[in-house]
Amino acid sequence: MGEATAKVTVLFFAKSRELTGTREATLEVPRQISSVGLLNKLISVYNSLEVLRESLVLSLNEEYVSIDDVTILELNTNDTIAVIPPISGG
Amino acid sequence: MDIVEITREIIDIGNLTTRVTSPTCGAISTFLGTTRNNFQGKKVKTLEYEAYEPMAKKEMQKICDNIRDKWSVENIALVHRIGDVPITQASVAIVVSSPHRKESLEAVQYGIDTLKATVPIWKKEIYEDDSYSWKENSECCEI
Repeated sequence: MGEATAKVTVLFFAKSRELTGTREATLEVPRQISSVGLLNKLISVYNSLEVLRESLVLSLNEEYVSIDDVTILELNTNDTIAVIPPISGG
Repeated sequence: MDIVEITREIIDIGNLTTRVTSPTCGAISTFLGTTRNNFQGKKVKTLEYEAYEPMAKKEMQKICDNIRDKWSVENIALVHRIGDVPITQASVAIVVSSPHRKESLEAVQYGIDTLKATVPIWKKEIYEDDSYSWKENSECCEI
């Protein structure tokens, strides 16, 4: 039986970086969590992200994760989560 | 050959064109996205771009792969500039060579539309009064 939690790296970009005042953090999260559960966890730690709640997506190890309660993430220590506000490249 | 780059330097379109040129191709199509000096009546002083670089490159490579699934093209260059991009300069370039023009023209259109929807890059417009705004692409958020 493994650990119930994982220590993941969380990256913040653009507006989410400005709101949290941080580029990178380490966070202890449940190993099994829905993507919306993970977003809620992030917002509970970084309250300033609340204004972006409806527009954020996440990535896990550089792949997009859609935010819903049916996508169950299996997280491991050293995984990288990124907080991705609406993009505006081009 | 796929050229996928994120750069802080001026995009050298002549150099990119040379790199995608192929003797088997009769067409090279190019899209350049350039920075505008106005937004809804506000004067834009400068633009700053920020990327999640490793993921942005992965998403840009996926665009190249999808182009090759859809069209017969020879070489593809997808280049995005980040950092400060002064008004009028190119923030993005897409250059595609193909044996015939239809393929590269369509590939370039697909390339820029998809890039704006999927590649994690952000643009901050800084106005003359030093206020600023993070932009949102209308194409985004459909992933």
